[in-house]
Amino acid sequence: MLAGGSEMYRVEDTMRRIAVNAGIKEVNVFAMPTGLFVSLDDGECSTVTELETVKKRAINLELVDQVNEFSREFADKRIDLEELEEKLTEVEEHTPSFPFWLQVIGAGILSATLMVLFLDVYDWVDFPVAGLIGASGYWMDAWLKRHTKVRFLAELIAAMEMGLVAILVSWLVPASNVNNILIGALMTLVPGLAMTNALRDLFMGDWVSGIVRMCEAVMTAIALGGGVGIMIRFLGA
Amino acid sequence: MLGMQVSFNFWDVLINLVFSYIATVGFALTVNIPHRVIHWSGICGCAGWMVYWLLARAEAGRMLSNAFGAFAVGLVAVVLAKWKKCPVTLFSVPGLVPLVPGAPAYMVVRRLIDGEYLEAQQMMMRVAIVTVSIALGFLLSTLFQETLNKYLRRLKLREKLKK
Repeated sequence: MLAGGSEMYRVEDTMRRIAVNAGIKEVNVFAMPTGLFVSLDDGECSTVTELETVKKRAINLELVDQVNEFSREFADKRIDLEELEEKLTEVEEHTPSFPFWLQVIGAGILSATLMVLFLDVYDWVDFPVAGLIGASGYWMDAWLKRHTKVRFLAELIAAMEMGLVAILVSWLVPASNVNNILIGALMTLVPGLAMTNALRDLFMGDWVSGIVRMCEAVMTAIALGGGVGIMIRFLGA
Repeated sequence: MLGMQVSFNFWDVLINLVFSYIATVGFALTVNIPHRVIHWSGICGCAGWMVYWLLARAEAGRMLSNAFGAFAVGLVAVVLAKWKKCPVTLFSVPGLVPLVPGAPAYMVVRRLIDGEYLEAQQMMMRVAIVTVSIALGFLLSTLFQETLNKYLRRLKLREKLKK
């Protein structure tokens, strides 16, 4: 339900609050990035425990916001339990999202502008190139993720594609710099955020999820670095 | 650090302001942020980057400038979240993006490919330090958030008592 990349303590907190507002006396929630357990005790004889696994993980902030909104409404008694469930299922299935082309453009401008920011030099030759390559890499990554189940394969191949295009461009346009282009372009897929999130989970005392996320971030970084490395090694830049 | 001198021109500031805003908005698009807060998340990223950039320009050191940048992102995110009534994550996730150590991380890979392992190790250390200091800065801002919450709660209690 809360696969949208929220912090673990927030997931647990929201679940607990919903349950308490639904009139249940004792609630225990244990959330991990790969699944969550909920145990409900209504104070009579039976305890209900449910386990749900989370397969799909991606950062989707709209989902986080919507679920938060609903639980707030529920706490204020503006909607009842059935309505809440109905709304949650609906949001889970059709999360309102930006059209895909807009996301790709977002990735493009992200990599172009970040390249300038990071390097602190204004090289306008690499600026559009980094944007284009970043956008194409993001598109490639999203497309591959739909077609393969193997984790990190999409990142690996997207990074290879970015490296390839960047080197080709540097052959065609001698004024450009492969390193600069790739620094910008790779930022669309770099897991720096997952890393920071992982550290934050650790600070909040969610050891399991912190370690799992850190592992994920490191693996993604290795996949990206490996992909670019293979291409640079092959084509010699 | 104190008594430092910051030298920059208007053009630099303008480019950094605008580009950090645009970059954050770009990232916000890819993580599918709710439409109503997209502009504010951009502001948040912009604030964090400007703090980082000014401190880095003032030669405050990599660790301090990153920590303070992340701290600024956290502060702005908390204030915006209170105001807009939505989770802090909405602002802090895109806001931290410009601070991510992308360039040194790439240089690690590059050095490894070229077989310069010692330099790669140095760079890796740098990435680790930057990441940890970002997390620390953000942690400090969570402290601020807790204090703010407590203060607000006390304020509400006092109002109730008056009634």
